[in-house]
Amino acid sequence: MHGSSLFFLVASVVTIGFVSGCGSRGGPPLGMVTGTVTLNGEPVSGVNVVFVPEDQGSPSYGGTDENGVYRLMFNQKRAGAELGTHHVLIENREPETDDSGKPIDDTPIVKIPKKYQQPGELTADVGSGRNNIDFDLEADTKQSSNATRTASK
Amino acid sequence: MNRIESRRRRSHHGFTLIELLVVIAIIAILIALLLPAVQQAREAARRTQCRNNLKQLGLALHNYIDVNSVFPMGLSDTVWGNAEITGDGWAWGAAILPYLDQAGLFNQFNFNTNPYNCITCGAAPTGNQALIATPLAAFNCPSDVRPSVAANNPGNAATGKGTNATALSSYMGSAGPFDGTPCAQNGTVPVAEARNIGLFRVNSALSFRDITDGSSNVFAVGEVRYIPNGVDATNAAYGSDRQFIYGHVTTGGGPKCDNNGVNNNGMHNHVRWTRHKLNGPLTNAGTLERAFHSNHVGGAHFLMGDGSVRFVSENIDHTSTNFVVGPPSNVNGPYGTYQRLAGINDGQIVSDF
Repeated sequence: MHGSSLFFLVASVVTIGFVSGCGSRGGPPLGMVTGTVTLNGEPVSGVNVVFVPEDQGSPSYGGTDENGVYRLMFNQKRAGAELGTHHVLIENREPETDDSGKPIDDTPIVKIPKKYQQPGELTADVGSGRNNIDFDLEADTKQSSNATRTASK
Repeated sequence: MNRIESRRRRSHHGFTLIELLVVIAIIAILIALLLPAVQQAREAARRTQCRNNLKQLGLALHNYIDVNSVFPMGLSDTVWGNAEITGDGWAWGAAILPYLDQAGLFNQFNFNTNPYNCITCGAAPTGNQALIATPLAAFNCPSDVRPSVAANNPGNAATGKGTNATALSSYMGSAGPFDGTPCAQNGTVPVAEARNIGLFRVNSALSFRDITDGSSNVFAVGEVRYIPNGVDATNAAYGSDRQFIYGHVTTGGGPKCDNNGVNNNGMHNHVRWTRHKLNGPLTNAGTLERAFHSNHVGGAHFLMGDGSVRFVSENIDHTSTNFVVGPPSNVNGPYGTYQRLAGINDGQIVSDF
């Protein structure tokens, strides 16, 4: 009798182990990416940040909040971006319009210079784990057009 | 003696409480294992139905081509702005009705007025306004959990410029790799803008000879799911709830093909672009109102130009490339596989996907 109940206990423990042990998430490995976007040193709110893998891959999207902080999302459930080197695009958010096409909100939008909206100007490396990648942009009127990027893990 | 004793012991033997509890626990675990499998079987059935609908749309499109020699137009909009003009505001979904066994509905529509036009506007709409509330199973993906109809400009329902019920669709045409301005102004007439190199465009109907990339390598129709409007973590609007089968008008009474925002009526009510990610995140940056998306795990179905249906992974090679006006324009690349599939004559090679 003792032997049989022991057998049942062992069997149930093994079963529970199988149930809880078999879980896997689809998709490529990601690194979490957050950071701040500034234009001439001032935080930029309301712009969209896009990370596009330099090699084959799928992009991640994020937007900046009122403090210029963005957080990348890979899809509806997973945060982060694919590992490796990315082209970074920082895009003006399109104004929300009503049915006739007129903007609903009249607050002026910070214009990101065109060069940052196309691939080539900004790149970033995403590693596994947490990445903090800030972008300091410079407005077009200035002489130097190179953006400085500070990346730290 | 021995036999009697063993019989007596056997008659007294039963399961202990612990044994019973363990058996019950194991049965519970097995049921718990089975339940998700049942749910997955249900979703698999819904996915099959969804895929079959897309195939039917493909057959309807090909039957349309057999009769008319061209694919239907993405949207008819003959005067710039949102003026109410005879026959404007109808989308490709209305054009293929006779080939979906809906000739009755097709014949009842009055294509000489706009899709929201009603004969006796008011509490009980008649005419087109009543007919555009007809949900069609052929345009309903069972995985796309949504209402069958939605109100659109409801305050203007009485004047025929709005409706309390517009039938929603789960399938949108493919308009190309770049999702910026959907049409351009040529005099007073809207024409397809240079970046719109997909199969469904405003005011132009294409044929197989226009698909120089090969009809098996280009998207014709893709899936969308109903995403109610909301705001993301940065307080910016996102959503995709204006996905109409038959057509649209704006509050001005006509369609407005150059609209493409979250709260607008425009080309994006009927066609989508592949600039933004498939099944992208629920953020403003994901631009869901112009993108394809589904409730299926890992991707969405697409109808190709040749009538085949493919499941495309949401992790497909994608560069999210924006249109560069040029010269030199980037209409012929370079950009990623997902965007190449939407361009019908971009000239770029599509490897297996």
